[in-house]
Amino acid sequence: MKYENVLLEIEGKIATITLNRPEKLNAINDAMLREFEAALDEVRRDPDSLVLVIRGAGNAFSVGQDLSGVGTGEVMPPNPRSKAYLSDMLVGAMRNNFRWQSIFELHKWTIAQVHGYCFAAGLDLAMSCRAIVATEDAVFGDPSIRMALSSPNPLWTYRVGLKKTKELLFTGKYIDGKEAEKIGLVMKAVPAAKLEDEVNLTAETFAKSAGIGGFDQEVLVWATNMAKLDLGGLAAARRLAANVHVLSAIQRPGRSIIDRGEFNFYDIRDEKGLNAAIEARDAPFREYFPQPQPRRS
Amino acid sequence: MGYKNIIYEKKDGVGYITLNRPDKLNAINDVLLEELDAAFAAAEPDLEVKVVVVKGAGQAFSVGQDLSGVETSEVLPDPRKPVSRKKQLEAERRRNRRWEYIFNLAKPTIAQVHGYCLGFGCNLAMVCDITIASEDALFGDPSIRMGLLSDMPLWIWLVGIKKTRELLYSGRYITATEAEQFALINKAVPKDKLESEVLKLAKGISLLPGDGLANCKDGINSVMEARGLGEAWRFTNEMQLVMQQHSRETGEFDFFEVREKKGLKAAIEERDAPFKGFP
Repeated sequence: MKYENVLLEIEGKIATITLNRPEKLNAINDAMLREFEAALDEVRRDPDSLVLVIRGAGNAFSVGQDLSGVGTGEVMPPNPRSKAYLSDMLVGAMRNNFRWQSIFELHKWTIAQVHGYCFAAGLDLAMSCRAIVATEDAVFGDPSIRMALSSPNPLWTYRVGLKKTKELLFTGKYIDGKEAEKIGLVMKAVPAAKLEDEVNLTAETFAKSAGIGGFDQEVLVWATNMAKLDLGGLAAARRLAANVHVLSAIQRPGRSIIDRGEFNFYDIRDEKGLNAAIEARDAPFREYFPQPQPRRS
Repeated sequence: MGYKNIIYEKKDGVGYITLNRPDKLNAINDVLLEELDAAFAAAEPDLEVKVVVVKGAGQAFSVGQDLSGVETSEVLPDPRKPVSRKKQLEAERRRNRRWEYIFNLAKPTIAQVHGYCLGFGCNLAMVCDITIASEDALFGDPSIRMGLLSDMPLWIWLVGIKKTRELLYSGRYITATEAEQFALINKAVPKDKLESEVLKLAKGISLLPGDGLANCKDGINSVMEARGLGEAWRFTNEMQLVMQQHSRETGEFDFFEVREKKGLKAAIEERDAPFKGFP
């Protein structure tokens, strides 16, 4: 398959998928999802690659869902004023969760190589990898709540604990790579110049350890871990988080916060454009939650 | 409703519940507990309140259950008093529902902790969504030293199984800095910054859509239910009940006996003295 929105390279035991919409800071739209799924499938079926690295081209890993409203029927909940079918939204949310699950359960080592912004769906993707290696100035966060949405990602409490999950998701605030490492979201945060070396070293180490005693054994260990996690509630958590996300997305006209005169992302976007809508979304919170910025090289 | 042992106020979208028995370091007796329930129930449907801050007046957040034996039959039933099995179970269910209700309140809750935060006080801080503490705060649950169990299942999910065992087996206290390290709390801040930090957080949250916050909280809490918290409330409570009713053997430290003979202070001193070796 020919890809545009992602790049796939397989070199020896290490496969790399690069999110490739650098001019949009790798915002995830429906086309990128389709290509990502196809590329993931190629990696899955390639018996020689033992490690998958996922990274972003240009200045960021990914800013998350493409909020432009163009080609985003699946990644972005529809404007609550449009009369979306609940069944469509539920199917969309489940597909979304199956997608992250298929990365989470991939029988190969997965590493997210994160620099720049890593928000919302971009962070869900990174969190679904077994390890995140990031630059110290990378910026993590999920601002969904600022658009009145709950996160469909059930991995939060497993990754950073209950208290931190609530702090981050109730505020939508952003944290840098160093803090992400401190709270356990990121396996390792390194200076920007060292990111690639660190990821390569990690990938090669994993490839080597997967070779000891045979890759199949490694796969079995992973399958056992998956079973434990599912027994520990993850299987049900995926469904519950998706359902509640849909609940948050169907704010029916006449019964929603939007009609009580609160912030409506969709209206501002249609009137003043995407950047203005994102600015209007985040500006009121900078006073309360300082927003780290990645250094520009 | 007029409150006696707490203060409930609203300001700029934030509800404040202040435990107000400063002369007793905010020890939680039956009245305080009842008023706490009432204040949360008042805050939940109130559209003027986006987020609830819980704090303590005076020198501490709360030392936990009032151990004095006066008006404490709900928070600390005396095991020597014969009570029917049905009554005991009812009381346990009430405890259970109380923590679950605060945990699942359809609004974000923030515990603002300074000084002692022990036993029931620590439970209260744990069921709040976010906990910010000053560096002088001390967390712990010394229940085991009186032959009782903690009735809070969240320990395991918050600090992990090893730390839970260490803390609940020893009844020892940890500092806010340690508590932050173990993820029992979100953040430890210098004492003079505590109020402003919490205010900043609460104000920021108060700008957010209430419906969205309720959904977001429900999403996170439902993941915890899936992880077993639902059953854990019940199990923990039943074990607590069993421990509460066990009879002390001869020679075993009996808090209630000592309290009756020598007074409350002496009983607490006798309870903690053997463990002074713990940091």
